[in-house]
Amino acid sequence: MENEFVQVSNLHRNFGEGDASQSVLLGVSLSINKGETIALLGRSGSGKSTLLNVISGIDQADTGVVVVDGIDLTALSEHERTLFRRRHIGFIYQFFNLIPTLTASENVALVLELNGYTPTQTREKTDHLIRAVGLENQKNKLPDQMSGGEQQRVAIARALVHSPKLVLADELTGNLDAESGQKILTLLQQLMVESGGTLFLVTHSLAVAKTADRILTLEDGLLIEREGHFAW
Amino acid sequence: MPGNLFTVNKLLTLSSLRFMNRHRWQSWLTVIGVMLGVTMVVGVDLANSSARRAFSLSLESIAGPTTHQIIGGPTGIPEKIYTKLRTDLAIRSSLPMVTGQVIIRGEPFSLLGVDPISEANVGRHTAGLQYQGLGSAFSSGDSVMLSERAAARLNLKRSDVFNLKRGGEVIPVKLAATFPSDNPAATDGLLFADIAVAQRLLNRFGYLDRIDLILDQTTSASIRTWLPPGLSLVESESRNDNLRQMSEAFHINLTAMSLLALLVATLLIYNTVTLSVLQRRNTLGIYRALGVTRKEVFFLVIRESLVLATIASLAGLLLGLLLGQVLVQLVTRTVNDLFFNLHVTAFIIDPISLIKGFVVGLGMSLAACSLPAWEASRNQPISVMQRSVLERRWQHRLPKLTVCAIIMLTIGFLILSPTHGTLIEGFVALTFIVLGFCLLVPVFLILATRSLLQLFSPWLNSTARIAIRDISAGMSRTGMAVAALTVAVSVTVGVGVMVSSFRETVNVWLGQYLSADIYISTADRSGTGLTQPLVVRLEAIPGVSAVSSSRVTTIETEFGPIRTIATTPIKGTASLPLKHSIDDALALFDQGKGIMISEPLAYHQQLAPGDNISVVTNEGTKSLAILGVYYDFTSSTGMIALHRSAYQQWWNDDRISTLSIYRAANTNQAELLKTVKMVLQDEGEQIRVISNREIREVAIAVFDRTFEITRVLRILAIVVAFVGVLSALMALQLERTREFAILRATGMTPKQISLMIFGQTSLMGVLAGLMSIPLGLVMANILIEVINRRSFGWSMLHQVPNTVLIEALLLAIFAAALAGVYPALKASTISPAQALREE
Repeated sequence: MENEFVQVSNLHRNFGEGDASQSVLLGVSLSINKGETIALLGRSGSGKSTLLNVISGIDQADTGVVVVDGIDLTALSEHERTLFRRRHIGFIYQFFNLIPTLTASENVALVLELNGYTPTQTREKTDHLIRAVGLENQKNKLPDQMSGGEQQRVAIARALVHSPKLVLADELTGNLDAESGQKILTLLQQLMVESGGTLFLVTHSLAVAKTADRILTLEDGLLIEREGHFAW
Repeated sequence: MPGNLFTVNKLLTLSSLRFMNRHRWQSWLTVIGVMLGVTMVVGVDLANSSARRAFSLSLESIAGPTTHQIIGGPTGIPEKIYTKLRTDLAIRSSLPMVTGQVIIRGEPFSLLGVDPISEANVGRHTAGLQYQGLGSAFSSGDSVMLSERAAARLNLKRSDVFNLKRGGEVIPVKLAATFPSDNPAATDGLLFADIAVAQRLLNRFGYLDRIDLILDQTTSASIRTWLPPGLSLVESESRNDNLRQMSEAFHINLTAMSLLALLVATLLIYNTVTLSVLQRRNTLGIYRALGVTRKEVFFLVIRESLVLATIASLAGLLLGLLLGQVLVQLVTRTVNDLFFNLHVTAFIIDPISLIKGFVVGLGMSLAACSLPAWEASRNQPISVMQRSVLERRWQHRLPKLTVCAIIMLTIGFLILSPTHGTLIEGFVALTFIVLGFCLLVPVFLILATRSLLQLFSPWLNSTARIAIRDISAGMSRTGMAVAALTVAVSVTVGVGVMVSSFRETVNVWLGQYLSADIYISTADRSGTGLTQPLVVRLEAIPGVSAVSSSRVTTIETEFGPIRTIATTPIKGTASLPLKHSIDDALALFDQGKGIMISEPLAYHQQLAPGDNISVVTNEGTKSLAILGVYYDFTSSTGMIALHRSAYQQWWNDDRISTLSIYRAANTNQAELLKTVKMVLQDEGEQIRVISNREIREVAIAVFDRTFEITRVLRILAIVVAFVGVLSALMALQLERTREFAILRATGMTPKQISLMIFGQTSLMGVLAGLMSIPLGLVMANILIEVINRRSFGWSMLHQVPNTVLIEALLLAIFAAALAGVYPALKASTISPAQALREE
């Protein structure tokens, strides 16, 4: 229990109203230890991204509690959750979601600037992460001048630059070919080991899931922990 | 890091600047729209303040330290009053003055006849003229003095002899001296002479126009009781205020027109900022996901808009300076035509006008961008964002928007309900009504597009159906763009209908008012040359059925000086076009038992038939009964009409200002005009003979000149609207690149895409044009029934020319269609594969 970094208790989340209401999470509970890598599997529309959004504070559950690093996110205001997310969470998306008008290094540096780092600190940490993801030669390029793999590397650098305690990755390799996806995954895992942070992966891919310490599956709004081989 | 307006995150700002640079034409068109709005506000304000300042300076420079004035009736003040004032009452601080209008080399001047010794003793430097040391130069022969600037402009040097025109008479005078002046606006139109010389030049022997005094309370009270009937003592300041008030409504009206243009620009800012927020929805969603707070997003959008608004406002100030110089000539000409003699040669750059224009430009931009900035801050983080949610949100808002619209329209009409509200209230009400109508535009669009689809479905192909459906499906984008275009075009309808209604009213009124066939007057209306023997000669001309004489002058009333016409109506002819009157008003008028007042006087002073008005006559103050109110567009401050016999009785003034000749039946007017001119050719140049038709032409020309400013402002408002809407509609279509790429990928040809875009924007133009007509007509009604009434007191016929409506519709369609050309061309050349690439 002391090592529990994320505790989710009895989470419910519905979308829509009246007859069109749809329950996505039906009392989900889980705990993640510090430094763990967790993979979340599930069919399309099963609520994987919703769970990720609730844990990160982007979305709010209808009922239930989410505690991250001892802080009850469900008790915070929207503003407080935003600040928490800014400081302690890194998010990596399937479609990269880079700022189109900022260069690669500027996209990375933005997070540090938001967190009040000095210009010197910002420059140092940005350069370090850009080097770590192997994009020194592309650091001044805009997103539309880079390949998908390069953009995802920038996204990884952005997610890790402020040393977040929790990194959430939604279909990290979903938009990449198998080879690029594998390289990205390896890179992320290396960086996570270096930082000692906790990683929560959402994925369709069993191959990606198997690299995690634990595999969870979301089915019919409920979370199931699986060990060993399994099939849909 | 707390979010506020001044906390600038460098990278977020850099991202914004690059976005604006990528869409620079959109940014520039926004800047141009705001700039034009600020240009109009500043230009009009500078023109108004130059005219007002010139007027104030002229009043101050002439009045000096004086506290009171003695003024007389139409005949002026007998000289002996001045003598008695100094000898019997020992009032040494008394300054006699004679004034009149003269022409020098085609330019009008105000001739001031002063007593240099009295002026020097009191220490008044009228218009900066130092009377000490002038010597005999000032009082000898026909000597006059001009400012150095005026002399240089007229190419005159000291000792030059030149001709001066008074009425039709040409009189040689000598330029005895020139004087420097610190206030060119005050002195450029003034000509000075010794009072005796001026009396001779103006044919005012034995009379003065006013006596300026410096008095304390006690002395002023004793002078008031001492003055004989027909003369009154007034405070200088209140008299000047009366004169100022005459033109104030005109100035306010102009200012409000310019603010209307700025309102249009503001709507366009709202539209453009909303669009730029929509274009960056994903980026804003990424910011939110990364931890940028709502407040930080809000202030980011505000700062972006303020940067553009600052650039636009500064540019607007510069252009406003140029526009002001053009407008000041138009303003001066209108003030001269309608109110009083104003000479503005110096364009005064009032820093307050510049600051006001800048603040108004920034303020309106801030107001306009606040709502889109707030909406941007409500943007969800990227991972929960869905486009369909945005449109559903808009659909859910429609009932609330409709309720808000009804509330705003109700407030607007309620503000208008009192009949004697202020001009400012009129414009506030107009703003509420315009904004309320804007909020109804999305609802109208949905109803219109649904109706079109239902009615024409069998004949519409899929391209047309997509084009029509997309207008209401994309309400978050199309709604405000169409609203902005609607408002902009409605301004042209409103102003166009107002001007043509006014013109038609004046035309009809002239037909009723000018009942005679030929009019005779003197150039300066002094009455010199028009005599009773002349009347007898004219009556003897074959073909003349009657000759009526009138005296036009100014009399002092409880409301200050009011222009008055004393006339003898001819039986069987229409005299005054009456609006309402008591029973037997005309009969009582003919008996001299009351007066008629013009509509503006009745409106401004809240008088009606049956009320009384106090006037100062030669026999003391009299209370005259108001028999009726008549339509009159020659003066916005009002006029009094009374029978010649009554005027003669109370003011003992038998001079004639104008003669009206009525022709007998079967007499040719052109022939009669020739005959009359021949009979009068020996009377000298000062007599002017003009036909009814010529007067109408001159009157309409003055009217057209008066509304030239309105026409200029209307054209500028159209340009503002055009520029802004062009950018909004273009941006709208360009933002849908991905959508078009999907359509191309699914099989739509480039030609079909182009036609779809072009057709859609044109349809939006048609809908905006159709909606602009009812809004424009409401606007015209408010301008006619409220704004003009409250400004000038005039009531008007309503005339809606088809040309104005067709023009508006075509303008809307043209602007919208033009906006669709570039996006249509661009979309037709799109590469679907490239456009569909994800980030």
